[in-house]
Amino acid sequence: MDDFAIYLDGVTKRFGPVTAVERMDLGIARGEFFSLLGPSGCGKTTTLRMIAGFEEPSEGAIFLDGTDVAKLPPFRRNVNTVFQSYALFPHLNVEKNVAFGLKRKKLARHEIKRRVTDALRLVELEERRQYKPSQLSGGMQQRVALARALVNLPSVLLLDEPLGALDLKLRRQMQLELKHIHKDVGITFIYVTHDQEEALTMSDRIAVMNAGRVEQVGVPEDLYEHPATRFVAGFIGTSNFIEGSLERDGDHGLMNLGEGQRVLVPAAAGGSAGGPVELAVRPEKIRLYEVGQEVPEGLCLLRGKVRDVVYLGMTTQYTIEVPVLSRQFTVLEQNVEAASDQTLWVPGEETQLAWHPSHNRVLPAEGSAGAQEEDAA
Amino acid sequence: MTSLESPAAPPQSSAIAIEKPGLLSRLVGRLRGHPFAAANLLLLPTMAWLVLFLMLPLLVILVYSFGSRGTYGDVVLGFSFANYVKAFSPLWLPTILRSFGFAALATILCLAMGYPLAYFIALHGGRKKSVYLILVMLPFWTSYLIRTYSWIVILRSQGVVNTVLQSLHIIDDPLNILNTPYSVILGLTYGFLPFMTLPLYASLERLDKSLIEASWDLGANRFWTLLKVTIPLSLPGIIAGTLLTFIPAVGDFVTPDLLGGPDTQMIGNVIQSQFLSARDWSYGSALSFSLMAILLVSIYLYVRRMGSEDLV
Ligand SMILES: Nc1ncnc2c1ncn2[C@@H]1O[C@H](COP(=O)(O)OP(=O)(O)OP(=O)(O)O)[C@@H](O)[C@H]1O
Ligand SMILES: [Mg+2]
Repeated sequence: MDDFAIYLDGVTKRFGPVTAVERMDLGIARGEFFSLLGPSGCGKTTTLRMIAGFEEPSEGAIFLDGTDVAKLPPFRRNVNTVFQSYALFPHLNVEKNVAFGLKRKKLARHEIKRRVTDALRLVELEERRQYKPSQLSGGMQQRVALARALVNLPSVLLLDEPLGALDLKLRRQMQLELKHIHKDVGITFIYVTHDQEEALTMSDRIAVMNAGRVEQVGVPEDLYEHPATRFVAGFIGTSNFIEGSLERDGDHGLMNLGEGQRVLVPAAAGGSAGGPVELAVRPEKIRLYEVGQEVPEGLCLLRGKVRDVVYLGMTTQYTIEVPVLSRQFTVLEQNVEAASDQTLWVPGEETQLAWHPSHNRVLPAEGSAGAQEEDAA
Repeated sequence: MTSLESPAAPPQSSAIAIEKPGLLSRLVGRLRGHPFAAANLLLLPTMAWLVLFLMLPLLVILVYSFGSRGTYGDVVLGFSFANYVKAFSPLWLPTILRSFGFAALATILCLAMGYPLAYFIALHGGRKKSVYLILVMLPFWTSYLIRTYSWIVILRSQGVVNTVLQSLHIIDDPLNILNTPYSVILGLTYGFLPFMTLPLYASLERLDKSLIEASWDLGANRFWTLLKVTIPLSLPGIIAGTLLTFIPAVGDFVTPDLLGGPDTQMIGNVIQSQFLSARDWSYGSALSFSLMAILLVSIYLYVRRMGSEDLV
């Protein structure tokens, strides 16, 4: 517990009948860029507000640098927040906004001045120090909010969708800047977002949340390549889901998709033999072969018919009807050749879908008892 | 406190700005140049109302104030400054000072009670907010006169306060509260408290609650947050509330009349007696206008100071 900057131990938060956060266990290492990712209303802000001290957990304990902070008011916690709405003081200019926290720490005047100048230099707003927040653009206000929090050198910085109000281009730019700043200052960042792309590009680790629970914690590649639950497989990127049951065949896992279709699955696949499970396959892992064309040995193979073609520039997205399973597959193909060379499939064409069994992800079926036990392990 | 404004500093925007061009000239300017001049027609009824019922009586008083008293208490129009010379004579100085003093004390007491009250309703009122607000306004449902009378019942020697204190043996002889400066200040405070509370409530209600959280987040405890964030941001409400309390309190004559004694006369009593018992309307008008002038100057100085002062 002492090795973590923040440790949540079975934290639950209820608002009357609503459970916003449910039995959350989470350890965040020092200096980590950690993201809370999840759809709207899943409890991200509530989690952050409990760490900051604005809400008291209904159950569980929060450890900050190894000490239980449950009883500490926000102004006694060594954490600072960048609010989604920035919450800059409208009656103070940029400089005084940034100096606000330092003044309460009773630092010497010149020390305050020096640190404020450093912080403003970090966010490139030195020459705006006399401006009132209302005289700044949204991006500048965001940077002031960041400087105001960072200047206190908290042990943890909490950021609640700090880029939510910015346009896409500015967002991208600020994502990079935030990454740089994080590297420079070495402070633990907890970053809340509902944008999976943002979380994947910025984070060291991500906790994917759904309906108040943590579904999975992991590094970005891990969450994408090895989702633990159906929710994660569907929320981060997209997946083709096929229900079936799990069988064992010696060292191999074997999944019965029904209609006599069986596919090999990694041996360590979750779920017990005979139980209902779901198979998830990423669209870009599937390759399309012409009917009759020889398919390499050992691939999972299905026959299908092209339904829909969407040209996306870098890739082409196909919707393919697979009659044996009576469901549709989404397949993404790289446009290696120019589209004008007629390499695209056209709707109505018969095709074969093939993918390597190592790309098969077996997930506990949605709603089954196993689903919840998975992430606790 | 001094501010470190550099010459390159951007224009300051303050909560209450004193407009440079007069209100009227701006209005006229708008009426002329506005592409949707028709929309301004909607202002006409309001303007007419103001001119008729606000400006006209003032004009009458202004005209009267330069006249003199006729033999039968009628007004003889004329143009003499005699009434104003009399109005500013040292004779009334103690009364004016007393009026300002009483009103200022009542305003401070109203602020001291109204601010916590408004703060509680605005930030912790929850679903009962409107109930609390109605309770604040409840006294308005009976007349000011009757409410002030009831204070006599409460404060007199055989009144509620003294009876209770005596029966509890806290005091032996009845306290002499009625007909003293205390009872007048108390009456003024009681009477104008809602005028203070409501504008305070309005500005605290508008206050972005996340600013208070931001202040806590940055290490400011409740006291510093109140001092550095909540109070500065509710300054427009404080200014409005103090003005709405102070101005009518200075000119009030009902409270000192009913709750006061011979040595608590306020300027409102003097003006009232000129109009009613002395029947010198011209002199009364001049006194009114003088009071208005003094008030206007003090308000101007007050607002300018509060509005531009860097409280942080
Ligand atoms: N003060 C509150 N009173 C009652 N319910 C609340 C309160 N705050 C949050 N909730 C509820 O808790 C749940 C989680 O809310 P939260 O704000 O944490 O979601 P979020 O993940 O931050 O969503 P978003 O991405 O939309 O900001 C929601 O169902 C919300 O209605
Ligand atoms: Mg949120």
